[in-house]
Amino acid sequence: MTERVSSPSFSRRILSEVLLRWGARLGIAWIGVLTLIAVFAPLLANTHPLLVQDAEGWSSPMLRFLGPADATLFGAFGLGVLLLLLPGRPFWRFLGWLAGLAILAAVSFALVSPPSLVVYEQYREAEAQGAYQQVIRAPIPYSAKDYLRDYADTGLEAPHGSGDERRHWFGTDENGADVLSRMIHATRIALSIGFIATGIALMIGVILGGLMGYFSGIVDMLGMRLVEIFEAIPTLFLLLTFVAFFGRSLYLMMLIIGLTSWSGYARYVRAEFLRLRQQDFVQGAIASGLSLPSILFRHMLPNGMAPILVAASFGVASAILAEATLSFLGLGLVDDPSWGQMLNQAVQSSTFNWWLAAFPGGAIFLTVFAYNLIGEALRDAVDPHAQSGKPAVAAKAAG
Amino acid sequence: MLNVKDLTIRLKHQAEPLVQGASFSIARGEMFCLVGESGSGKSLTALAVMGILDRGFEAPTGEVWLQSRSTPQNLLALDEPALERIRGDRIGMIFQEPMTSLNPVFTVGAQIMEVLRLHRPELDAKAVRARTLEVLADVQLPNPEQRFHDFPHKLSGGQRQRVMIAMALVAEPELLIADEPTTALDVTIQAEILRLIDRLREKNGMAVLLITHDFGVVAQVGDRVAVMHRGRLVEQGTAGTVVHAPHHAYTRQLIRALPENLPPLPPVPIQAGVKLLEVDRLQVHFPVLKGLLRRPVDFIRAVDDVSFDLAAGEVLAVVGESGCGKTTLGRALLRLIEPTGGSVRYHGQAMETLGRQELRRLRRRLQVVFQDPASSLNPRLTVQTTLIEPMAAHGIGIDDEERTELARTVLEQVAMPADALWRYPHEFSGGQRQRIGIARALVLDPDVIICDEVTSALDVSVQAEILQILGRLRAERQLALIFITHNMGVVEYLSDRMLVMKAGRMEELGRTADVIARPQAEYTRHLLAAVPRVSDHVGRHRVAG
Repeated sequence: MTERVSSPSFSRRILSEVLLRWGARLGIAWIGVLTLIAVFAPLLANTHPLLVQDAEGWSSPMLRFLGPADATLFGAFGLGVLLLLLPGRPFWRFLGWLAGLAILAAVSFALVSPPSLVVYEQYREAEAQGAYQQVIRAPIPYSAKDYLRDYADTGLEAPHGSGDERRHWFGTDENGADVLSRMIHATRIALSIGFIATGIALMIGVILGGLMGYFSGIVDMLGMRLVEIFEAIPTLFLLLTFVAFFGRSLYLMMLIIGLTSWSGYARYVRAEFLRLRQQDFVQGAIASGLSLPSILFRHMLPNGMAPILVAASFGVASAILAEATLSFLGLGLVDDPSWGQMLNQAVQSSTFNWWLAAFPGGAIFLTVFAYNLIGEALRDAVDPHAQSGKPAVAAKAAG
Repeated sequence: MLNVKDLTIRLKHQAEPLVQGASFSIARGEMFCLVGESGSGKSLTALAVMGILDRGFEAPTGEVWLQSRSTPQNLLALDEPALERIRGDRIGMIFQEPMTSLNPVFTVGAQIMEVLRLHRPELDAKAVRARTLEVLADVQLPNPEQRFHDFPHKLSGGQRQRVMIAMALVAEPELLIADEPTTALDVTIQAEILRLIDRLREKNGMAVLLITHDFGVVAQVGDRVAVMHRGRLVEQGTAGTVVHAPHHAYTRQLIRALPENLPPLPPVPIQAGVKLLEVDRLQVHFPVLKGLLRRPVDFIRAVDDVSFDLAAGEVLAVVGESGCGKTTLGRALLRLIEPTGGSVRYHGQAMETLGRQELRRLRRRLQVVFQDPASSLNPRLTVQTTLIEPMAAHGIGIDDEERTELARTVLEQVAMPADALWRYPHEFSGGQRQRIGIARALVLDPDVIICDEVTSALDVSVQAEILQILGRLRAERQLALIFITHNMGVVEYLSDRMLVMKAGRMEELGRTADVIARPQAEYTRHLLAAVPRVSDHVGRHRVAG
């Protein structure tokens, strides 16, 4: 083998092109911060102290009360960091991560079982009685569902900081729970609904669109009719109907958003495949006698993926918005925190509670905005006519 | 009349200029040709004269003096409103691509009249209309009254280019800049358009700056020529001197690279007995579907009753103008498009009877190289992957190591360095990509390669390299080629026999030398007469006489 002279691959070029743009950098940074917050939410906002020293020595109530979902997330994050440092093709590393995630989830749901009875007040009472020698608390010492029952007369309170016994940077909601804590825990729902709903939609859209584009003819005709049928379904009303029939469930929500939004991706992939089929390199691959899977997945799909990723990043944003809308209408999750549900509380009582509107609303806005920025940057990077300056001019100069 | 002094153009934030110190002058009524290969800066020069350079460029330095009815003006020193009055009024311009340079939502007449109203505001509606009709007649559009009300999509490429010329000439400019006006057109239409431009130049006494890459065109119509190379004018002179007695090394190299000037290929023995391919009355008809039930109401006969055979080691050229079905013929031979009738036999075995698996095995023997080097390689795969994947599919070589070794030898045969294996297609120039495309066909060790316009997107010097590589490979490997092209020079250089096609049908099939010397069909004679050749230069005398 001769020495490999490394040269940037297509995806690497796209990535560096995306990272050239300020908007994309900001968007990626914001999503990164949100991901960290989502993964480490129990460490950031928790009534259970991280560490306490009492008569029996050191212990960690926080760890004892971790649920299986928390364990899976921690594990997945660790695995992700590990795989990023390891060498190997990104695609295989990603597959490895997915497999690890599945194993982790199975193991933690089988083994991790936190105590079902949670009494948040016990720590504050114990501390007041001087039972702890030392306590290390989370930065926000309130859990999302800690309604502060030990304090009389809690409820809607505007943000107040120092000077008080309790400190609520973003105020409390009508049940008396800390808004900042609820927002931190709601990050998980916001991110996961975006990713999983879009993931489902992408999978269906790419497979159906790919088949339609490659085989065209009768397959294409039937597929397009199916797409038209699904485009006629109004997602929000379907969601409302399902919530009315089957109750409220996050997973059902993800599934329905995913099942109703694939038609756009299918159209994109179909158009890409129709175009790619006519490309000489695909014709050349056919003429070389390559097998159908190789032609579809090696020669066509990677070349048609870029515009689909652009659409997907906008799709994530709209899935987040759909969940927020539903929660705002009071049809989201009951007790679990969600940004949309907090917005709902902003207008529930007779007064307008600005802190319940501004902070969750701001978070939704920033997240949707971040995804749109990434989508815009991806689109520019993929579009050969909008290359950053030089190549386009050089092409014009030729001839 | 136009006097360009020391014109320098550079991109913003770049030290290296794209055009450097270009100086030339064009006299009244002169046909001045600017020749060069792609990227040499010839189009940029024209754009700078018009003052319509892209925003990515710095303001050009130097002087561009336009002397006409009034006192001389330095165009580079003028402000935008003043330039707007000059553009279209005193300098007209036509572009390469006639299909996109007309606005599809306005009629031909409306677009021409708009130019006229802008530059001749003193004319009334009636005079504007009369002048428009006159100029449409001038460019020899049949039935100008009716064309006046037509939308651009109704016109053919050649007709659109005539409309573009009419638009450029309606205000009677003193200088016409024509940027590759015939490159996108068929050779017979090219001849007509060139004759038209030349006739109008004579009639209106205007000067023409003709930008081209084709020395045949220069020899046919040019008075004086400037040769551009990497942003510099390397040679200027009368067309006759530059074409026949060039003194700059680069010009000599360009002229030598023309197919008709290439050293002849060594004769290759053709095994006339071995019939590789026998094509019998091959048809490809595309149905025209109409109505709710999508019934075929008619057929487009893209290939209609084409028959020929191909011996081992023979080069057959398939010649014709765009839309004659030559590309469809190539793809039907490979069964990339299913033929609707007739038969193709490979070594006596009928291909249409083969099953899918048998066909895949046979694909090894029939390979293809495509026209557009930009799209013929998968941009996501390294050259190594592109080359070894077909080998693996056909069980050539034991492992990837051996296949890579084979790929390296093949790359050497097409004169590419071995480290090309680990690079991606975007890192190569058009000519290099075309050579990789040939390598991809060669790794399967085929008997026949179908070359679909492989050199038409390339500069003439690169074309010469590709032709020589193909000629050598053919001799070394006993390779038969089906060479689809519209370029007569290439046909003469490379092919043993030629097949002339028109509208899907065969017009003529015979030995290349015989067909060129004594064409039998009327259409072949017409086609051959239209080809601009360097050898038959007589410049303006010929046109005048």
